[in-house]
Amino acid sequence: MNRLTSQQRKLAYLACIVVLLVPVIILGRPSAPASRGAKADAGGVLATLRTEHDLGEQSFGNVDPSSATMNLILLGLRGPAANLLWIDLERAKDTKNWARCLSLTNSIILLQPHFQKVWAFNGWNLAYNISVEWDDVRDRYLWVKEGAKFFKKGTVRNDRFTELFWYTGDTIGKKIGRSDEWEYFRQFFLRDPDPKYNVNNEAGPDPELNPDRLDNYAVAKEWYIKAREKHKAPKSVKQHILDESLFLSYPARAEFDMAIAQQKEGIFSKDPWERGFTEWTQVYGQEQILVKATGLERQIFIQLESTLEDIKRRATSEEEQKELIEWTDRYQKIANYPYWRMRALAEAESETAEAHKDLYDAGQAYIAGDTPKSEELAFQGLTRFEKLTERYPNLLTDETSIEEMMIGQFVWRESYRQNNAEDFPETYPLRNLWIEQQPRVQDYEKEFIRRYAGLNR
Amino acid sequence: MYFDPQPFNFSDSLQFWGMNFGAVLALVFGTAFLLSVILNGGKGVAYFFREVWGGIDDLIHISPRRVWALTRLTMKESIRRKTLMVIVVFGICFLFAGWFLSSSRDPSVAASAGEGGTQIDVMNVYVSFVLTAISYLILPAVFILACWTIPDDIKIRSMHTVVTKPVRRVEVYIGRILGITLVGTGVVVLMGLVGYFWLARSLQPEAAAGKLVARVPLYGTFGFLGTDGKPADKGVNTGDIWEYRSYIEGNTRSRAVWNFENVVPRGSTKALRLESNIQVFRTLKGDVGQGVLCQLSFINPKTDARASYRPFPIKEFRTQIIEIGPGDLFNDQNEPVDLFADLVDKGNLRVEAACLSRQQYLGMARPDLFIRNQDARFEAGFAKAVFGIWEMMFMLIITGVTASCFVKGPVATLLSLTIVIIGQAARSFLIDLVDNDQLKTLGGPLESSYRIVMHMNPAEELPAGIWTTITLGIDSVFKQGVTSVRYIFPNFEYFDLAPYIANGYDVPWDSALLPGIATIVAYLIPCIIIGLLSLKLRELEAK
Repeated sequence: MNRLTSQQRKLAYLACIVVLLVPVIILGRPSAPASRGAKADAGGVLATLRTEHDLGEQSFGNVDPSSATMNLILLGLRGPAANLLWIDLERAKDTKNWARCLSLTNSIILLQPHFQKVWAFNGWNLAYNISVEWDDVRDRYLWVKEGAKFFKKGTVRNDRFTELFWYTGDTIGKKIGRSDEWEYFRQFFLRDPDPKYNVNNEAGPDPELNPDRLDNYAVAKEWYIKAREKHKAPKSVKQHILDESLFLSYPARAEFDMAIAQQKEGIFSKDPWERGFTEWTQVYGQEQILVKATGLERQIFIQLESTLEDIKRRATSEEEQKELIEWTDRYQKIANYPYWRMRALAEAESETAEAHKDLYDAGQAYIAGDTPKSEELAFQGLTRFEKLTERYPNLLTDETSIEEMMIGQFVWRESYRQNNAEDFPETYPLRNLWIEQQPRVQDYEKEFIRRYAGLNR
Repeated sequence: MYFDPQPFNFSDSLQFWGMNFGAVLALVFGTAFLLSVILNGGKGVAYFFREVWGGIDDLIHISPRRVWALTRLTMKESIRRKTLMVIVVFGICFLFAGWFLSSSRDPSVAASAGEGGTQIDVMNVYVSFVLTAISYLILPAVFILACWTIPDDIKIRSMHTVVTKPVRRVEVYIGRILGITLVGTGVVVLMGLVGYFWLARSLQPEAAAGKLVARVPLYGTFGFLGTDGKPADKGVNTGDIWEYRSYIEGNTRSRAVWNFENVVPRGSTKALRLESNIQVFRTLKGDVGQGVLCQLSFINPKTDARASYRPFPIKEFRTQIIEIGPGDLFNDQNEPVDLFADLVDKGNLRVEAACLSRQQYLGMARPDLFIRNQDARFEAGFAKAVFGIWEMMFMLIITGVTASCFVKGPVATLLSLTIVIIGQAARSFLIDLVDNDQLKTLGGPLESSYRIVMHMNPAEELPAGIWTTITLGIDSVFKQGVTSVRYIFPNFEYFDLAPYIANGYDVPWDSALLPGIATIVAYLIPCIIIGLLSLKLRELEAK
């Protein structure tokens, strides 16, 4: 070595560098997408393997350059930095420093963009924890939206995480549709209180969440459908939120939720019930659900929309038939499948919608002090319900329907008492139900008072 | 979020400093005198007074010309060591800042007029970023410079060239400090200017909305009236983990009370502008579309004449501006009352807040209601916040250069870093230990060690006996030591003025600037003495 001159050594080093460049380029050349005038380049061996096994950053979702830069700058201290941010986030939440909360949440996501639980927790934190800290309902709505948008951002960064799609739908569906502020939230979803979303001087929806101006449950259904597709996709990260039999039911449930919410708002349409019934029986009911139980000798797939004849036709042996019957029955109970099937079928009838409307209008007339009208409408509604219960006896075991009918009874009775000096007639619609529910009549009375107390008396 | 600046009592602090400084000075000089006498006998007395007089003589005969020469030399050295490279890093930070800062600029959804504040405070995030970036870049750079300047010069023997000239050691010391300070000042000013222009561009929407100002608050003293109408220490605790705010119950005699002094009308309209940031706690849902109502009453502290402003719903986490003009206040007979003529007594005014919504609560702390005087300019507030960074820089320079006068570079760095960490990060821990008496509750080091080994919890009594007495005795000495040591470390929190401007407030002289300047002067004087004597008495050899 010492026999070589300085120049010779430098030439030797240069030659070694050139020789080593060859395997480096073969192995490490990055892939490049197609651009103007150039075809796409699969890259070197490593890039090809990365694409083949979905290990590259692009295979997770959109690449965020700021996230990648942040991770590089920290020189391996990403973990401690993330820990400090989490501690700071809790402190900011305790001291109600919301600007800092949002800023820290976004910073955490830069460092941990592919941790599903990080997205799940922070989105929930924004939509559920931080939103309730605010008193003004419009402020609460803004933070619920922040949570939903956060989940949505998560689906873009990680399009293989099934759960994030579901959480987006769940936030838009349940949080907006069932929280204490649901009346306001559902309105805001269509007409955002933020003036920047005004369209032609009228309040419009937030286009990031609701570009088509749909009901919140309709948008939630779209996200549940995406979640279902992700769940079935071969390379996705499977969900562990719910049992599969429940998870797959959510698109149909979104239709039912929309129908129920609309009924509470005084809109009585059978369309969502019809759509829900179709979704429930023709899509969800036809799903091949794998039975998850220990000790099974083989894989069993059940379909919830199965009759005894269907099972007998499918089974290849008596033992298999017994198993299919047993597991189909169990899963139908888990999903409450027969109840919602019956309910959707019943609610999809015009008569049912009219019955609901009659009782609702009776309540409104009672509030307005028009007791003759409330008496007539309530009696009419109860009569319709009585006919329904003859066709669908299971309605008499459904708590929601019983409550509605009993409240209707109270409206009719109070209106009758104010309009007539005589005692109640011997026969009246749903008399048997009234008698059967006497042990619980005080509970229904409290609910009646809560809805109508002081408004008419 | 909260922002609660505490007033600073200068005269008490000066007195306290004087006593402590005098005591420490007496202790140090007394010890030095004794040692001198013990080691040198009778001659020790002469040695002692000779050195002391030499030091005093050095201080009296400082030459500004020589100091300036040494300052220029230090500046050249600092620049040669590439201190100015931090500006490049600073520039890079700002090029890419937009990628990392929150882009949520959701504006207020409050539609009613007269309400200010943004929901998600972008200004706080951006201003904090700029000031943090300046601090994080300049402070470590000057800190390292300060700790290594003298030891490095001793090592490469350039200090020997300097001291052979007719230069006093104190002039070397002051020249170093001034030189590094001037370079650092230039960098801070440049970064401050760049930061300001970047902020002005990034916060254009806020500037257009008139929010880029520095508010000048007038805070009052704060108290509560309980549900029986009598004064109470605090209000109700609604179970919030953060006990910063206390709550008053709705539809009761419970009140929050502020007593203001130096109340003057705002502008020519003789109006009074108040800002509030009151919180709500609901015990029942109620009407979620309706806010919880608050009513402010204004009382003359001398005559008890009172008038009320119309009730208004509370908007949480946003600043509510209440403008009290002529005709806005009415007494119990529904007659209009003039605020300044009838209620303000020689600048004194009492304001009471009541919650009108039954079974709901309103939460407040002292800064949650203040009188907003004429706003200052944002630029002035920002400049003061940058001045706070300069103060911190200067403290680091003093500490680093002083430490480097008697120890080597690495040790000086560690020593200064320890002082900074204790003064900044561990200060609340020291306060808990000493002021909040945690030591008494949890025991000193010996007692704690004993409890750990014997698996005894803090509630258990120690066994009676001579060893317990000895343990507690030694621990009491330790506790006294910690109490004394607590006041040796400077309070670096005084130099953090960023929260003021980040939250949209001006930096006040009395509670923000004065404590910082006083701290600097308080530490500069003993540091000059230490630096002078260290350089004078030490051997200029790097071993």
